[in-house]
Amino acid sequence: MPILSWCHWLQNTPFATGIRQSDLLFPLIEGSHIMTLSLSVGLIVLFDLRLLRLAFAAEPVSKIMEQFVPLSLPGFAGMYVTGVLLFIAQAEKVYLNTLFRFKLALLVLAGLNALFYQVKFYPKMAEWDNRGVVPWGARISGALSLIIWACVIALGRTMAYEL
Amino acid sequence: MNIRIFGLSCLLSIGIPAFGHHSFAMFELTKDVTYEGTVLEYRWENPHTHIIVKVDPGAADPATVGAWDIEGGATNIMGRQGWNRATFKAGDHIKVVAHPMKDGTKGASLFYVILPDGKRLYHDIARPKGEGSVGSSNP
Repeated sequence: MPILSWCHWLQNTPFATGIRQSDLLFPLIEGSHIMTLSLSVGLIVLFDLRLLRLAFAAEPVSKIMEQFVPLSLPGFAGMYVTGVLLFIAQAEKVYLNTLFRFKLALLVLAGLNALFYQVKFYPKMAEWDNRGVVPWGARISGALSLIIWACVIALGRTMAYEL
Repeated sequence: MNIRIFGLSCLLSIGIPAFGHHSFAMFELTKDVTYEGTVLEYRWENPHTHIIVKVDPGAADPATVGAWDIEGGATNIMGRQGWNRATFKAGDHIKVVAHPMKDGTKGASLFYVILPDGKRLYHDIARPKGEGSVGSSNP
């Protein structure tokens, strides 16, 4: 399989081997992956809870979003970069891991869900936010996001048992 | 974000790798099996070091014959016990005590190796008091 041989090559590049064999780099990258995850997914969870009126119900959604995004985006960038580095360091093993494949599929789903919210509900946010009612579609999108991210984290943690 | 909470998280996270990358539930921890044979591969890497050991037919314990994947800790954990990337190489003779997998697959969790001079090098956990490991002053 070409992807597998590519992963094999990637894992054995000096860069990947260097990360894997480093006493400091590997745990730092691994730890940063978790810490940046808490920043990005933590805020995503709070935002989803707001859409469902389970948190910050007195605050307008737009105000919450405005304050969360500047923190959540750098967190996401950090999580993405460290995730890619962790993949590179163990590409072959990770590629063959079933849980990782589910995790990747769910990440795509989370992205599509966010895109759906961004295209369908974000443009009219000022309107529904003023009325104080979150559209049903946006609430469902928030609920889905909560479920998907919980599964992504559970899968990410569980796959470490197999590496 | 409160900078003090961030700092505290950084401090707390430093301790996390010591707990191990995964649990030891899949290993039969009360069972100490001695594998004596030849090192096929010595992989000094994270999140786990691996020693692939080939035990030839005629070994003292016939159940150990075959190729075994002996899993150790992360490189920093092993390093504190005196291991390094040159401790073993392919072709070396090795005597290693490890806890086998519960499901019967040919893998085991490293307990310690017995070096030619009789000294033991331990995997981080469960080092009995008084039995010094090489190059480590850690309690």
